[in-house]
Amino acid sequence: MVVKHSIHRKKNFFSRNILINNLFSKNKKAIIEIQFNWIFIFIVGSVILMFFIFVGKSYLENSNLKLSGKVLYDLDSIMKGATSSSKSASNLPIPKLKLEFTCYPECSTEGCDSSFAISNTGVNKPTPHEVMFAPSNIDSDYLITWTLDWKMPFRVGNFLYLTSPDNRYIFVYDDNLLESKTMAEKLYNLFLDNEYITVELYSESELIETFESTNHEHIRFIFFYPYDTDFELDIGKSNFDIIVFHDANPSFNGNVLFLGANEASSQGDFEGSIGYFGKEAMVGAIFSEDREFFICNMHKAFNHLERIFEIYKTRAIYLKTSPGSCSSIYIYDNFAQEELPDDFGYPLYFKEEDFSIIESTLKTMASNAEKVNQNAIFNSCPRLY
Amino acid sequence: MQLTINKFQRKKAQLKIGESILVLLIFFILLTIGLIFYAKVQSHVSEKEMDQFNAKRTIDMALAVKFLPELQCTMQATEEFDCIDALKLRAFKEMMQNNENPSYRRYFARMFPNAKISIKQSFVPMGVILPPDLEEGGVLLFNNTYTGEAEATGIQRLSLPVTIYDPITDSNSFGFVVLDTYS
Repeated sequence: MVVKHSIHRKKNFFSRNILINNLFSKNKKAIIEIQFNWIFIFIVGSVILMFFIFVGKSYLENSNLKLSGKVLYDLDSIMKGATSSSKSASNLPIPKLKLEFTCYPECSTEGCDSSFAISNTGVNKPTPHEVMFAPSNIDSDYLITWTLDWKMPFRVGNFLYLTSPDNRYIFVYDDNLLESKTMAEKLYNLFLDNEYITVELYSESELIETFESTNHEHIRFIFFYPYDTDFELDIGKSNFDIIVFHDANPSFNGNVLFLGANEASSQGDFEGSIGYFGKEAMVGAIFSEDREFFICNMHKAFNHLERIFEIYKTRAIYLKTSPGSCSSIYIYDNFAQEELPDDFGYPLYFKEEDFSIIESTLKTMASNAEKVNQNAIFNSCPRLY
Repeated sequence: MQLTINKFQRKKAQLKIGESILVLLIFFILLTIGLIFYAKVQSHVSEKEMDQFNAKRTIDMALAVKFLPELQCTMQATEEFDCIDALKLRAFKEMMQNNENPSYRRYFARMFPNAKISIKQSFVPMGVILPPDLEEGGVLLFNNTYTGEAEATGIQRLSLPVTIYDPITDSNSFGFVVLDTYS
């Protein structure tokens, strides 16, 4: 009985031991299983999370790219539409995306390295041939467009000017110079055709006395005389720069100097001036970001001029060889045989003497074409242009 | 007895893991089906957008052709809308065929990429103003197509009515600017 009991106790002891062991190993397994579950959840959760982050990110990138492309394409259509009709002005609501315009003056007959883009998207639209005078950045809800046609005297093409309501243009003339006042007024009146542009006309003394700062982001001062006095103006938080039409007798053909905010008082010798030819080019200088931007666009304009001149010259030859009594009209001043100089174009490095060479070539071309046309009208013959 | 319980518990745990994996598998299968469906819908939308883009491109090009100063009629340097000057057109053709200066050809190739543009005289009251050089009649302005007709996924044709003015005879005739854009 005692033995039996002891055996039973022993048995109990062993079974308890096994139970504890079992319980321990079970606990261990449960712990491992719980840990495994957590690891499993963590890995699978990470994979799912990564997957959704990846899908979301790529979707966002794609949709941004798509939106930028669409906006850019729409803007391009708007600009093409604006360029098609001359003397048109509009103020278009656009998505508030920063537009960047670039135009590098190193051009060839194939066009210029020029484009417009939506900032930080990498999406851009090349504009190697489009004559487009604009600031380098437009960050506004509205885009102001304006077109004027460049004539020599035949129509060469439309110049497109772009700006935003954030830009303010201040025309300044010298009270003592009648020519300066006349030119400033002429251009001011032309600018008034576009009701969306903020443009103001001041004499130098008025500017010093009455100028008030506004909330415009950028102010461009346009001087129609070789200004040489330093004066201080309160322009508030606005940025500013200056362009100077410094010829003694400013006209629609002349020289212009671009000055940045830091160069504002370094006037005097007007070194770095470049030529403009025609009212439309003068307006182009006012809208251009800087000297390089203007040179680039003038280069494009001269490429167009060369091509259009070829067309009118060939047209004059056809008119000359056509049957009838009009043939002699078109050889007036040898327009049909006129050749442009081999190096015709807007120079990359504009020198003082370049102005007179280009001006005389353009004047000869224009006056010959005008004479031929007038003669044709007088003799009831087909017009040249 | 304990071993049987252990085995049973292990099997239960395995079953649990299997169940989880199965759930995940089904989840991923559903996700893949969803993605495939989304991709299909997106590609359909993209195709539609591409068609719209091509239609827009065609209209833009047509407008550009109509307003080309190289072709447009002018009266004292003021342009006349929807009018093509026949003499300018001849001069333009000559310029495009001039191999000495291919830059003009390249300029227009860039302006009107993958497109064929011709001008067709449709009504001839006073004789032929434009001697046709195409089989179907009409004067070919440019053929900048780099996609062959066979490879093109779509060809869009747009005909815009214009008047063709002959300054020598001082006569007008009706015509079309025919624009084929390839995609």
